[in-house]
Amino acid sequence: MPSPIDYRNVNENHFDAKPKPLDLLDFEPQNVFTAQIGEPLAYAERARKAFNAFGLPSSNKWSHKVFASPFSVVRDATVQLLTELNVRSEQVRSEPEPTGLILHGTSGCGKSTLLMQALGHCLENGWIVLYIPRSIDVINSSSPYHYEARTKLFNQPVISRALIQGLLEVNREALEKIKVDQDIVYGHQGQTFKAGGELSRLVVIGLEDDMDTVVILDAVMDQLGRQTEFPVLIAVDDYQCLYVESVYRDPQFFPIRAYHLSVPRMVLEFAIGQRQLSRGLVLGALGPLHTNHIAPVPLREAIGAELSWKDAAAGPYAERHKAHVHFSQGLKGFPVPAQVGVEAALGWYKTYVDGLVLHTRASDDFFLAKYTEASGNAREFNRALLDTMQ
Amino acid sequence: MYLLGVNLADNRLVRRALRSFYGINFAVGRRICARFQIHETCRVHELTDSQIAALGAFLSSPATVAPPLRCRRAAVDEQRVPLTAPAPPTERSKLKDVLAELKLETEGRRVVRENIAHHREIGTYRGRRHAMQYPVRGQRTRTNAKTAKKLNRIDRRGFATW
Repeated sequence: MPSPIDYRNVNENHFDAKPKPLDLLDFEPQNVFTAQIGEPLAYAERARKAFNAFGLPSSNKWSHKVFASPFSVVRDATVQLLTELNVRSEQVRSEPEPTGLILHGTSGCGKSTLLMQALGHCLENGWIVLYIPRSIDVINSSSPYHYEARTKLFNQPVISRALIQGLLEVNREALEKIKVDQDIVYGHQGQTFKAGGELSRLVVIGLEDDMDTVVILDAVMDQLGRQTEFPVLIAVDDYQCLYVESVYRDPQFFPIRAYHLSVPRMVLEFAIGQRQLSRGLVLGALGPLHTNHIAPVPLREAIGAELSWKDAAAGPYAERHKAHVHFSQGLKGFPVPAQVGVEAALGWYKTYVDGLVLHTRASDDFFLAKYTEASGNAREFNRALLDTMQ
Repeated sequence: MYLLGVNLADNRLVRRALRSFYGINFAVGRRICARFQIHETCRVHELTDSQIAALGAFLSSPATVAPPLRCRRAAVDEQRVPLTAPAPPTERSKLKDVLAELKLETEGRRVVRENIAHHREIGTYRGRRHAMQYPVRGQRTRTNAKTAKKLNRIDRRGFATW
C-alpha cells in the first residue's frame, strides 16, 4: 500500500513548473502606443464590464480562458485603428455627415478582436460606448417584435431594453453629466422629459415596466448624437447583418428586411449621416462566418472589400438593391491584414508558453510550423496552438 | 398552459406546441406565429395575454378572424413622425388569406371522412380499398398491411391519409 504524499516535503523536480504570474499591463492609452508589436495587454476592468453588459462576439473570443485576465496582443493594425479613433474623437460636426468605418478582411484575420480592442481603448479615453457584439441575434427572430404604423418599422422592445441597460451600466458617469437640450416626449400618453434633466434619468425611466423602450432608446441616441462633450462609439460586429433579409416575417408572411427593424435602422442612419452624430463614429466589422447573410455588393464596393468571384464577374449586372446602395453611401473601409505578423504571433505564443498552456514542448520549430500551417491567420494560429497534441 | 382544452407544455416552442392541434403542421404553425407577430424562438410561457387571446380566437374559428395587418415599409429616407401625431388607420391585407381556409380539429377530421365517403360513393379503387380495410397507396398485402387493417375504413377515425 503506497503511503500518502506529504506535500510539505516533496522533491520539486518530480512536479511540473508552476506558471509564473503574467503581470500584463492594461489596455490603456499610455501602454498601447508605447507597447512593442506583439506585446500582450490585458483588457482593463471597464472593458471587461462592457463585455459582461453587452456580451461577446459569435466566435469564441475568450479562448484564453486559462489566464486570470483576458488579453490580446498589439498588432500594427491595432495601432493604426486606435490612432484613427483618436483623430476622429477630436472632430466635431455641426451638420449630419457619414461616420461609418467598417473593418473588413478574410475570415479569422482578427476583425472582431480589433473591435474589442477599440472598445476598450475608447472606454479608457472617456468615450460613450454602445456595443452590439452579435448583430445576427438582432435579425434571427430570437426576440419579440411588433409593427409600429407611425414609423412603418418593426420595433424590437427587448433588444432595445438590453441596449439601454448596457448603456447605463457601462456609461453611467458620462450620462449623468449630459443635460438634455430639449423636451422629449417618451410616452404614448404624452409623458415628457423636460429639458435640462440628466440623460441618465431618462435612461433609468426606460428600464421601468411598461415603457416604450424603442422610443426611449431613439431619444437617448438622438441626444447623444447632438451633444459634443463626449465622443460616442457605436460598435457593431457582423455589420452585414444590418442589410440582409432577416428571419422575421410580417403578418402576411412576407420576409422583413433588416433595415425595416428598429435597431438596425437606427445604426444604419447614424452610419450614413442621416442622423446626426456630432462627435464619434460608427465602427463596424464584417462577419464572414455567417455564410447565409453575406455582405451585399454595394456595401463591399463602398468600403473596398473583396467581391465574390460571381459578383466580380457580373460587374455592372450584379444585384445592387437601392436600399443597400443608400445605406452604404459615405462609409469608409479599414482593411485588416490577412496575416497577424510574425512579431504579434510571437508575442502571443510566448504568452502561451509562459502560462504553460501548450501541450507541446516549446521551440522555434514548433512556433514556425504552426504559424506557417495557419498562413498567419489569427483564428487558425490559435486553433493550431491549442488543438495540437504533437 | 391550456389553450382550448389542449395542454401546451410551457417550455415548448410555440410553433412546435401549435402542432398539438389537428390540422396544423410545421408550415402552418410558422404562418400562424407570423400572423400574430410571435418570433420563431418564442416559448409558450413567454406569450403575452393578448397573443394568447388572439391565438385562442383564431384556433376556435380560423375563418372568422380578421385578415392580416398590411405592414407598409418605411422608405429609406422616410421622414420621422413625432410620437404625438395621430395614429395612422389600421390597414388590412386585401390578398387571399391562406389561414382563413384552415380546417382544424373536428372540421378537419370531417373533411377526411367526407373525402373517403365520396370515393366509396363514386365507386373508385381507393374507396374499395378503404371498405376492404386494405392499404390504399399501393403497398404490399402479402405481408404487413397491419396499419391499414387497423385504421382503414369508410368511417376512418385514425391518422389522416387522404
